[in-house]
This record gives sequence, C-alpha cells and structure tokens, in this order.
Amino acid sequence: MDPKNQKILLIVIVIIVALVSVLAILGPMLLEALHIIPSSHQMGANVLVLGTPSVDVITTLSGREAVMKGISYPINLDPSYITLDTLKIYNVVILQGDPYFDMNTREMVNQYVQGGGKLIIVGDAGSKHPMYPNVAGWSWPSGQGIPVPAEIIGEWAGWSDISYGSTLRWADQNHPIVKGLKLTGSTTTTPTQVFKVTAQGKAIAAIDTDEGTLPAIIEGGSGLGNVIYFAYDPGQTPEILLTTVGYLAGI
Amino acid sequence: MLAILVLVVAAAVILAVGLFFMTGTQVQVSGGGSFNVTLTPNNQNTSSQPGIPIGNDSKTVIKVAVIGTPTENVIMTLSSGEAERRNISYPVTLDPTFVTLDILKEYDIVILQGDPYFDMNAREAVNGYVRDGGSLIIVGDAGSKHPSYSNVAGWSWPSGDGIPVPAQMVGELYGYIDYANGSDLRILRSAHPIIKGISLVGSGLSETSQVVKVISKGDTLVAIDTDEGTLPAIIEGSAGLGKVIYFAYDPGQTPEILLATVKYLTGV
Repeated sequence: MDPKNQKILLIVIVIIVALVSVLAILGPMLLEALHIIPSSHQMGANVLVLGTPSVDVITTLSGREAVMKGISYPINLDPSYITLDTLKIYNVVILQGDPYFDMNTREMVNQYVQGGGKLIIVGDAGSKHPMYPNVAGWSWPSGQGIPVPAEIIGEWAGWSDISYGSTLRWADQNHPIVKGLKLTGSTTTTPTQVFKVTAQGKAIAAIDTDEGTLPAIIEGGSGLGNVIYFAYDPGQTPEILLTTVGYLAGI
Repeated sequence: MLAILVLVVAAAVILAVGLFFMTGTQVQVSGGGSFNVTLTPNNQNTSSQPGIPIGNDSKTVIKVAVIGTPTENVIMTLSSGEAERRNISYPVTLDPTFVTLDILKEYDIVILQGDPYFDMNAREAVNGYVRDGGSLIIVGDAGSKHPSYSNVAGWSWPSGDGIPVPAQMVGELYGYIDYANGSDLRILRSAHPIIKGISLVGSGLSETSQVVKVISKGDTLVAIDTDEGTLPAIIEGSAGLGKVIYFAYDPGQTPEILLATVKYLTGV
C-alpha cells in the first residue's frame, strides 16, 4: 500500500476508535438520561439519628413507604461518640431528642454540613452543652457550632420557650417537601409541642399555636450542605418527614 | 501494519463493550481469528406471544392492567369481542398496595379506577412508568388520596413526583372532592383520534353519571354538561415519554371512546 494512503487509513482508524470510545462511555449515560434504558444507579438514602428519635419518627423512617423509597435507617447514635468519618457515611443526619452536644460534636456536625452533608434538626436538639450552663443555642463555639437556620426565643436568656399547636400553614406551597399537601386543613397528627424560634432562613411552614402563629419548618444552608429545622416533632407529619428526607438526599 | 491491526482489534473490542452496556444484552464472541458477535437478549418479550388468531393479522397483544376496582362497564368493554379482535388482553386487576415499576412495565396500558388511596410507592411507580414511556388512563378521583396521611391532597404528592394527571380537582387543596352529575358530551376536538367518528351533537353517556369536578391542566378533548354547568370530561396530557388521558366520568359509559383511547395510546 502507498505510504500516504497508509497514513490516511491510520488517521481514519484513530478517529473511528476515538468516536467509538466516546460512544461506548457516553452512550449508556445518554440512554439512561433519556429514560430509554432504566437507570442502573440504586437510589437510596442512609439516615442517622443523633439522640433519641420519637416513636413516630422511628415508625415513619422504618415504615414500608420509607423502605420502598430506599431510605435505610439502621441506627441511632449517642452524640458524645461521633466522628466526622462516621457522619460522612450517612446521606441525611437527624438531630432529635438530645439537647446536650459538646464542642467536638457541634464542630463535627458543622464540618459535615460544610462538606455537603444534609441535616434535619428538631426542637432544641443540640442547643445546650452537657457541662457548661453558659452555652446558649447552637452557635457556640465561636459561631462554628451547628448551622441551624433558627434562633430559640429566650436563647440568650438561657431558656427554651415552648408552645402547643397543630394547624399548619404553608409559607411556600410549591416547596418540594410540602407540594401536594392540603393548603387548608393540614395538621399534625395530634396537638404537639412547638419550640418558639425566630427564623434565620427561609420559612416553609408555620404552625398555629396557643401563643400565635410560629415558624414550624425553616430551610437554611451552610457551605455545601442543606439544613432543615423542625420546631415540632416531624413524626407528627410523616408525609412531610418522608419528602424532606427525599428532598435532602435527592431521591 | 501491526499498529493498524492492533487498532482494529481495539475498535472491535470497544464496540462490543459499548453494545453490551447500551443494550443490556449478552455478547458472545466466538470464531478463530475473526470476531463473530452474537447478541442474545436477556429477556424474551412476553408480550410477543401470539394473540387470538381470528380477525386480526397483528401478532401484538395489548396488555392492559387496572389498578383499583374497575366498573362493570369497563370490564365488559375491555373483555368484549371488539377488544378481543383488537388483541386487547385485560388479564389483571392490581391492588395499589403491591404495585412496583417492574410490574407496571409489563403492561402497555395502565388504568387507575375505583381506588383513591395510593401510597408514595404506588404514586412514584406510576410516575416512573409514564415517564419511561408508559400509557396511563386515570378515572375520577383514583390515586388522589393517601391511605394513612390525611394531609395529602390530590395527585402531585410527594414533591410533585406523584401521578402526572393533567387535571386538578376542584377543592383538592382544601381536602375535599366535588362531584356533579351529567350525561351530554360536548366534543371540543372533533379531529382527535379518540373522538373522530363520534357524533358531534347528541353524544352522551349511556346513563347519567357522577362527574368529578376538575380544572384542566392539559388539552381538554371533551366536556360534559352537568347539573352544575359544563365541566372538563376528557383531558390529554403527557409526562416524560408517556401519554396520560384523564376521564372525569366512568369511561365504561362510553365504550366506543374507551376502545378508541386504548387504540390511540398504543398506536395499534
């Protein structure tokens, strides 16, 4: 064969090989994206609770709907013993039922969120220190505590204020965690304890209580992560807890 | 020349690997010196079993599943001689509690009728089925509530990824369902395949029926005169690759439209 033709043939073959390689790598992704072939990625979310979840939260996260959605909730941990590496195993971390978080735990949770972790905080979880009574709220130490988009009323005075209510009002009805719920008449399962907070982020829902309408669900973010604060036990609205976990985990 | 040979072999291997990933099929490589590539499907398509051989040359069986409780009229229409000759096979009624995407994908058409209570899994399975190219017919308030969560209203929960219905029930956001009663149909899109050939004046249901009051969120094909005014009756919509048709009344009351809708959705 003429050396010139041989060179052209070589170039053509190199181009074909390159094209086939690109197609082989991108083809399946393209077909998945267009829903022509089913996605090979297993969707799911690993959930960890730091503290003591309510019975309703356990029931919701272990229920059939959660399992079918790919939500895996294997364990509760004591906040005293966690490390950043432990937190990073989980897609969503929930703080509930234990107000006492020490400096190490607060900083771990902060770093987890800054690094892209997703956090749900309930009530006054993580807002106190096991030994230092002067610590008030989530921001200690040095503003590098837990990045909660809320501030407890009475926080600076060292106390938590609690109210009771059940009727929910949406501040953002198109937010993914409440989309598809009744605009009027949505309630918690039973009248429930509501922590009085001021919103430091985007309020998604409010709740009517015996002391007026208060922020109920607040969304915030810090670094790469998302944080959602519940002023009441989210097990009282399992439909919202499930969509919140799904929303945060992207499933 | 050796380099060229190596490149050709590399190209063939990459091509084979690419085909393997893209089609999910087994690739068998055999032969001495040259490559013979044989593609063997993993799953034999069960819907290609021969249908009832009379009246129709088509080998394709249209598999229909109803989730919920179909009315007598729907059962009769889908099991009638007309349906059989068209190779419409209506073998199964499913409970929404046990529906998964894999189960739905075995059917060409899925009908939701007679059960308003769909949980998150069933809602997302139906959504996935439509988005992947499935055809859906929804009747009345089917799938619009949740069996245990009373705050859920309408089809869009959870997070807007629920059942993609091109309608919104009047009163949905307040948690109730509003009904009217009527029978006279008004054809809005007389050239649409599911309506073409139906009389423009005088078409109606076989008897006065309950109509769920909805606001159209898609293409309204037919309206219905009721005791509370003229309401949307048949609405067409889509989601992803699939088509959705909503009936505000029992489509068994208009078997000719139900059969044409099945034909339209499957293209057969």
